Amino acid sequence: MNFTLPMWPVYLVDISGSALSIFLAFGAVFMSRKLSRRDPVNAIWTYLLWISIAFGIFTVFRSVSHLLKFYLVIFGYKSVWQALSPFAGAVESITLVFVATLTFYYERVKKSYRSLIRERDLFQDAKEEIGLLNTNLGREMDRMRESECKLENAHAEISKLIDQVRSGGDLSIRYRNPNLTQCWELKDCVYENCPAYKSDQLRCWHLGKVYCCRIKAGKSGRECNCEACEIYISAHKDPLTRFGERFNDMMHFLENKQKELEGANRDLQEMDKKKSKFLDIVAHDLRTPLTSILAYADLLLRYKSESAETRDEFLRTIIFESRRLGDLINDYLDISKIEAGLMEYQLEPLNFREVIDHVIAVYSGICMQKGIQIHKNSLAQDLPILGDKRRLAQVMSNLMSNASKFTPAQGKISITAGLDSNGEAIHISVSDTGPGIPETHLEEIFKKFTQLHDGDLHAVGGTGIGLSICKEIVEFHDGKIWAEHSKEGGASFHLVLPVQGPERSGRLLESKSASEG
Amino acid sequence: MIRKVLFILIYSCIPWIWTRPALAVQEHGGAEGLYSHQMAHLVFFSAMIYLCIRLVRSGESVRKGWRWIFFSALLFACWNADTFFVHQYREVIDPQTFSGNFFDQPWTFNAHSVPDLLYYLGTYDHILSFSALLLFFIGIRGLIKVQRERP
Repeated sequence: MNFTLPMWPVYLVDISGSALSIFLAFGAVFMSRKLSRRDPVNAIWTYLLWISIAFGIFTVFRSVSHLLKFYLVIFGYKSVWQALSPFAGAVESITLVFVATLTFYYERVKKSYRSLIRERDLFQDAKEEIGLLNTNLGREMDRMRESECKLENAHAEISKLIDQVRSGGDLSIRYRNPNLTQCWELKDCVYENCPAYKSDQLRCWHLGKVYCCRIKAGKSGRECNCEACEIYISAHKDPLTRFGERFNDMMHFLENKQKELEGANRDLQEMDKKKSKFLDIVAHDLRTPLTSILAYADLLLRYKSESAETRDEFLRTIIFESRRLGDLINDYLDISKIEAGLMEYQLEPLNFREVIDHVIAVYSGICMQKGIQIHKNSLAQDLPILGDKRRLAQVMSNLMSNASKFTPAQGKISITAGLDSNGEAIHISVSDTGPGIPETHLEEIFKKFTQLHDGDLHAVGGTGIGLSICKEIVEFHDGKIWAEHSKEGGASFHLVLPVQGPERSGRLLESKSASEG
Repeated sequence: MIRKVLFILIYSCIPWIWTRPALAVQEHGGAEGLYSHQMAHLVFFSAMIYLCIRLVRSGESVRKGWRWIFFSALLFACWNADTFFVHQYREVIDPQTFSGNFFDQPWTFNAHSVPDLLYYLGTYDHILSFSALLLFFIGIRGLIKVQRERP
């Protein structure tokens, strides 16, 4: 084997390769720099840039040394080249090692970069999470501010209500339930437009429980269960609403109490008026018989020559007026005793028929004078009861007195007495043919200082406390008294008293003695 | 750690393999000597092979841009092997194989054996190094394109 090969192509490739390599090395460095600048965060590009630079240095030194070699050799400076050659070779070796070292670090750089990217991603995630938290925090802050506003409004509302309560002003409930107003069905529930607000019975806060039922029941045609009604539930979710409702409940309670107090105050004022009127009447009535007594006594003293018949007439008038005066004083004393709780009773077994007979006997004269007929029904049997004979006689006298007063001449008074169907109570009724009592006053007449026919009061006489005394006496005896319209057109008074029995008698006596003790 | 130990061992053993004074295509005599240069070539060769393995293992060797860098590293490794052989063979070659004088440089080469022929072919190492550098350049350009395409 023997080949003769030219060396000039080798030199040519050396020169051209060296020259082109310089350009390529610079191009690679330029491109790597571009790559790195575009994405400076990416460490791999920076790493590639450094490798490119190392390659560039290596290539430049190698190529330059090759080119220089030819230049120096051709121009006769071989010794210079021999001097420089080791230095160029050393640089070449160093750059080779440098590039190699960099290459060995490729994996580490990549790993570091990946961990860096992972950390960056984590950081980004954390940043996003923080952003989200920040947003949520902002929302919470907004909600808190909203709640604060609501609280402030509620506070203002409560303060306003308290001021109203203190000043005794209008206690209408002003609280508006926001959950209900948001409901499409109750869009108009804003104060004046709210149908419940206009109602006397319902309030805005009632809508959750009452009004919604009406709406639901009306819409679907079925009964609405308040506790399961979504309007009711939504209305009660809001703690502020619950507080408002409780406050409204309290205000409603206060309002009722205030109304009760106002009613009691009105009653007291009315009572005071009646009492004043009563005092006027008493004063007038006391003065009237007294004036008559004084006048007739004066006449007796002045006109001694009058006939005995006339003088007797004067004396009878004096006696009558004196008795009327005494009755008035007794009534007044009785009512005072009743009010003070000092009324005394002497309980004893008695036959009530005897009391009725006695009273009829007393009033028969008066009735005869006016031409009034007295009808007695079923008065044959005994009516045994336990009671105070004097007081019960007072009751019967009062009823008879009223009947005789209000029954016109030629009228009729019917008295019925007897045991009821069970035989446990006696039932007495006194009916007349007088003007009667209006339906609305059937209960009123038993109240103190109440009188009918104010205009004719003085014509018929009386203080308006007789029936109230009767009621007190009857109720003391566990009985009952009431008034009705008579079948014959007048008034009819009914009296029921329990029949005397050994058991009841013992219990009544015991209770009375205990109360006295 | 094992890799580090292996590298230290290789680096330590290399000076003891070639103990002869050497001359090369390019002179590396004097203070530098051939050994250090050959060691540099070996280290560079190892680095390029290591890079190739890494690129293949990570799957980057088939991706745009990195694919050309992978081939570039492969050519650089070949160039290193070539230059190592040429440097080394230059020390044992018969000086009579070179003849002629062109500005104090041999003008012809007489190849008497296959290694002589391989040596001659190896002297065209710039073809490999230039090609490797070109592929490296193309690879970086490809990476720039990828970077541009990325949103």
